[in-house]
Amino acid sequence: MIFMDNASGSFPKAPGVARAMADFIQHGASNIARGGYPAAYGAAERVFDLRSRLAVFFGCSDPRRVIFTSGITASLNFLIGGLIRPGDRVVTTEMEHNSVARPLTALAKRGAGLLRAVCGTDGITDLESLDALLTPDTRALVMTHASNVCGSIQPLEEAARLCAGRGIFLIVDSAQTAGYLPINIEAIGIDGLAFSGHKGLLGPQGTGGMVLSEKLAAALRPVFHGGTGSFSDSTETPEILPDRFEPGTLNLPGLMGLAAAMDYEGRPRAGEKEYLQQALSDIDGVRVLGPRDAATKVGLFALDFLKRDNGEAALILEETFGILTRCGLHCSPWAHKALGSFPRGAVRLSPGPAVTRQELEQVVTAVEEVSK
Amino acid sequence: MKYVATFHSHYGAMAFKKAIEQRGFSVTLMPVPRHLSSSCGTCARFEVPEGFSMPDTPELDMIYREDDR
Repeated sequence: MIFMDNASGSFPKAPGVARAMADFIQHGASNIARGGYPAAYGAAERVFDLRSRLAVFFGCSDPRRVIFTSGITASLNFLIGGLIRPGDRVVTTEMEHNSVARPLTALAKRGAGLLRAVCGTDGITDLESLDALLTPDTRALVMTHASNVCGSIQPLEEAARLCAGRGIFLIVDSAQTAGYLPINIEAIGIDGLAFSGHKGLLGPQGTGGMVLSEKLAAALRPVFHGGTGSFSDSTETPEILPDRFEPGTLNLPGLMGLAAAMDYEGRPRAGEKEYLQQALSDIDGVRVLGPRDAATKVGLFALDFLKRDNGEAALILEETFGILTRCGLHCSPWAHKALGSFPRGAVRLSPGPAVTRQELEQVVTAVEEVSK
Repeated sequence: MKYVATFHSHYGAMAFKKAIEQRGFSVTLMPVPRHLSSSCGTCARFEVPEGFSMPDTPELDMIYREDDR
């Protein structure tokens, strides 16, 4: 089996993830910020260390502004729902996943003004379009760092400059880049970074979070309310961080796994995406969606089979060649429309750090066979 | 000198514990005696020399000298 669906969720996980989770469950799965005994304090210390580590990893100078959630979709809903109100103007891009598109569409139905910057056939957002839409009365720009369909890396630094000059909050979906591309929120000027723990960071499902700028932390309203183990004499949600945005019990087994994943230094080897981009583009019977230049994308590849239904192609890749892919619209109807692949979708290949060059060559050979 | 520190948050308690430990002294986290505070529920008990400069960590509420109680 060759696992080529890491854009959905990484596999295998980083070494030590499963053990860390099992150890926590089997040897003292105490809740934190509640129990007053050593096992609870020990777990709290590991979460504290993970929060500090993620703050450094994402370039945030105060670990209290790293907020854990159940995953990146929850983070994006929190950031969007906690910041934008009916009547606000919000800008986004055509490359968004439904974890951005759906909360924004729901807000638009309640009276928010929603505008989308266009992108080229390479799946990269057009800066002139973005510039024109980002009027000073815009509340926020919500954009992905890289497309989950074609991998196109978006002009984040330029977008951040446009937002900073106009007082617009910048919210970024890093589902396909965290762990693969360096992200420093303070150097770039990101106000709210939503991240997944189970993709490029190689941790378990059910983990993720958001990293906030000081400005956004002050402006964001809590979406959930509940017990925090602090200020227990009050029924008001506390102002302090991270408590303000972390009511209820955290996914502690998951966070123990994510902590183990952060120890792992193995990442995709240089040259892999260049090899796949070139080899797949050279196959006559498929169209590789999005960028032609591997330098402008992350390592995921959407293939449109020209002589065969894409669903059938994915099935043959799995049944005949043992290659696991993701076929369809990838929860991204806007992106597929922009890339000209709606409604038939595409077969997406997304290798992880554990895949070998020999396996990638097998994948290319298999795609060649299926494309005939 | 023996002290008990109270905090506004569990994050603050952990940050303080680590700061004291980094200076070579041990810290015991424990439930806060109710007569001291009702804030985060966790306090830090520790012993340091007289004149010790307390770390400036976030969410610190109060530091009590146990000998004074």
